[in-house]
Amino acid sequence: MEEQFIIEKLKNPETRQYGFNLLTREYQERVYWHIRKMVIDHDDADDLTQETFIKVWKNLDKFREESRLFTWIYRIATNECLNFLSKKKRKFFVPIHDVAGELASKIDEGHLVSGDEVQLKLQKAILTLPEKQRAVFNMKYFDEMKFDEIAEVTGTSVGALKASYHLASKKIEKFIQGD
Amino acid sequence: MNLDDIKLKSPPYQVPEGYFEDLNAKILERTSTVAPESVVLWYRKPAWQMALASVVLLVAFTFVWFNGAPAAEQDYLADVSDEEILIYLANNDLTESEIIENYTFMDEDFSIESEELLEDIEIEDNMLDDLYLEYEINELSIQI
Repeated sequence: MEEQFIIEKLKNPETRQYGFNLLTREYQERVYWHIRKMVIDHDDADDLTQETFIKVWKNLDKFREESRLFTWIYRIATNECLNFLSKKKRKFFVPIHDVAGELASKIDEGHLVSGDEVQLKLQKAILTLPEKQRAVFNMKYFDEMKFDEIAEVTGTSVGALKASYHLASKKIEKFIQGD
Repeated sequence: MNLDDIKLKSPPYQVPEGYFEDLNAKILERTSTVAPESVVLWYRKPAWQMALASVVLLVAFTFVWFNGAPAAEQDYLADVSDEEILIYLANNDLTESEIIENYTFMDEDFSIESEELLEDIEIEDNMLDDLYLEYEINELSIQI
């Protein structure tokens, strides 16, 4: 569905609810998977996805069309993930690597997780990246977003993102080959 | 393992059956009880907010007006005539260097900052040589 069509519906108070319905149907899966890859656990991803769309709804008037609609939504979703992971660390006084370890153990538990050994190894390798770098890697590698789109989500320059992705790829390959 | 392997592009995660159909309904149900926050233009704000803002501004302005900025050192001499200054200097036998030492071109704080700034500047020896050549400064004296 054309993004502009949804935006026009959202702008009009009379069709706003209808436009938001279209928006959630259009983007909910992409947003869910973006979040799920960050937080691993389905229940956490479910909560954060709902929170993301509630924030989108509450802040519709703040969308200025200076960025694309889906990058704006992705930005909200990414911030929800980063805040969630940050609170996790603070709440339990868990150092960074332990949060990554906790997330890796969720992969091992196998609840709504199944894949071959290489796929699981890749996911654990990605978990060794710092959260922001992980988000960038996921958006580029799995979502195949363009760097200028990722730049709208993260507010980072394209050059920095390219460098970040390149380094992340090298780190992941090294982690996997190291086993 | 090659990251370009197409198999790796699918993460190994699943969702419960019918999850996304339910998700849409859940989101719409939760948002139906929440109104979008509209951006309120300043002239549409409630009267009491406008009055409070005005009072705060008035208090701040009054505070600045009556306290004012501290007078600069130069202001102390503003009411003294040039003739009186010349008479004072003649009667007190001050040398040129004593006058220069006691005359501050800048606020004390600024001069402290500039010293700190200079401490951080690393000047290489060859740069110093260039400076000496340019300004014909010798190590013993500075000609003004």
